[in-house]
Amino acid sequence: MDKKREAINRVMADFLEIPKDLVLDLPRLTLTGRNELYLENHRGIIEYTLTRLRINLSRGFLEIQGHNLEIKYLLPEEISVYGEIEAIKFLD
Amino acid sequence: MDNRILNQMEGIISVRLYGQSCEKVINMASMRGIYIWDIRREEKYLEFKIRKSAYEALTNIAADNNYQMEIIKVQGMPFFKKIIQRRSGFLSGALLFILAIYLMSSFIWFIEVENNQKIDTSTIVLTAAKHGLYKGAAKWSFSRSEVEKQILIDINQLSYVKVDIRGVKATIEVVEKILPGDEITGPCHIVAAKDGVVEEILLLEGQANAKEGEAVSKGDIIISGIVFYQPSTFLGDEAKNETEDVAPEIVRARGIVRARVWYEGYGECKRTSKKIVYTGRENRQIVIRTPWRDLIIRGEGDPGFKQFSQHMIKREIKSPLGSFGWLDVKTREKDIIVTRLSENEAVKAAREKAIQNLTARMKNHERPQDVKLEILSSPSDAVLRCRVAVEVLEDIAKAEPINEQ
Repeated sequence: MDKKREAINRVMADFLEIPKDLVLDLPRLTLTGRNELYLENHRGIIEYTLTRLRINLSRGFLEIQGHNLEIKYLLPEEISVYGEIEAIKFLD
Repeated sequence: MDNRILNQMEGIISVRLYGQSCEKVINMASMRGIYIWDIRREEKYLEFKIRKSAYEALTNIAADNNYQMEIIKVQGMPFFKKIIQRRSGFLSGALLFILAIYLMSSFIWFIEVENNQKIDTSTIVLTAAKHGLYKGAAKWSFSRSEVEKQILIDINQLSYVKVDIRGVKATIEVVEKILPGDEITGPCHIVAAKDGVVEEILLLEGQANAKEGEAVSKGDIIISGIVFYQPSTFLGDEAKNETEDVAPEIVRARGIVRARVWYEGYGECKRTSKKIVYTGRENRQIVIRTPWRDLIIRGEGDPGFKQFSQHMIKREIKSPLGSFGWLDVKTREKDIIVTRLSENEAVKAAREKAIQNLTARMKNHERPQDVKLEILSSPSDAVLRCRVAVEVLEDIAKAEPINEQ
């Protein structure tokens, strides 16, 4: 049911040329160099250590691997991560 | 959201959160709208910063979920209290300073009057003082527009007043009225403004009291404003009797009275004059000065000039032993030349001075008619003194109102 709805939303967003992160509640990532990551539309932190950070998304979650990871700030919808980022993975 | 100044104003608390999976607490806090930043994982705890206002909410969340919390550091304005208490003297001093500056700047310290030509500055300043604008007056103690209005009322020679206050300086800008000359419209006599011999009277209105060639002194009525009825010589005796008791007519006398007037001037001139000249002979001396003796490098010690002027350049360094240095002395011989003026030259110079002296007093700088020179000093005197008398033709008519009693 949810997948059907998502598909319809996607088609609608495509048709009306509306940014998908707004319609589909998709995460938006901004990576500056390899040290700063800015993420919008998150659903909370699942796990946080200095080498691994897992962030919940509307579908699945994001895993960031690196060294000395630090959360610069945390807001209900936004998160900013600082540190030596090595990998960003999307997981279901 | 990351506004550092705002955070500082509100107060920042650094917190340590102990326990397993602290992420849960952070998520909950974030969901409730608590702004969390600088989150850092250490081995046993999670360290982060929150605003002071969010602290209570966070403690509640932590307590509900059995997490232990610890404050490490506090920052920002609300936590300066201790510092403020410790340095209360300094802060109150600063406050006092600002207060003093504010207080001092709310008084008028300087008053300046601009654009006044005939009216004395002191008159305007005094009038302004009467209405509250004086040196040392508090700015709130008077109203600018009120002072402007009152000055205008008090000094009726002014047509416009503007009081401008800039900082501690008040500028009173005025515009003076151009008053019409005090023309006499009522009945009046024409009197002599000064002593003289009447040369010519042009009578326009009134009755002439003086004849041409008559000497008048200052204040004499020349043209009378009181005109007595003069019966015609052609009328018979009967008619004369009828008109005898006709009251005199009072008019505004008008006319031009040209008279010969004298001016006297005094001048003097010295018969001998002294002049200082340089003969051209000069001596330059260069001396090296040591504490023990002066060494003359160039020039003579004493050139033997009777009169001279000296110009000295001196460079000296003072030391415990004495002074070291050098002197450059330039000596120029002077001579005094005495010149003696001849009698004619001295008279000419003295006369010139006397004429200058009297023309300064003459009203309209009329061309002198007749110049008389009188030498006052004897030929043997060192100073020649002379008096010059000048005769000029001048209008001496002056209107004077008739006092009616």
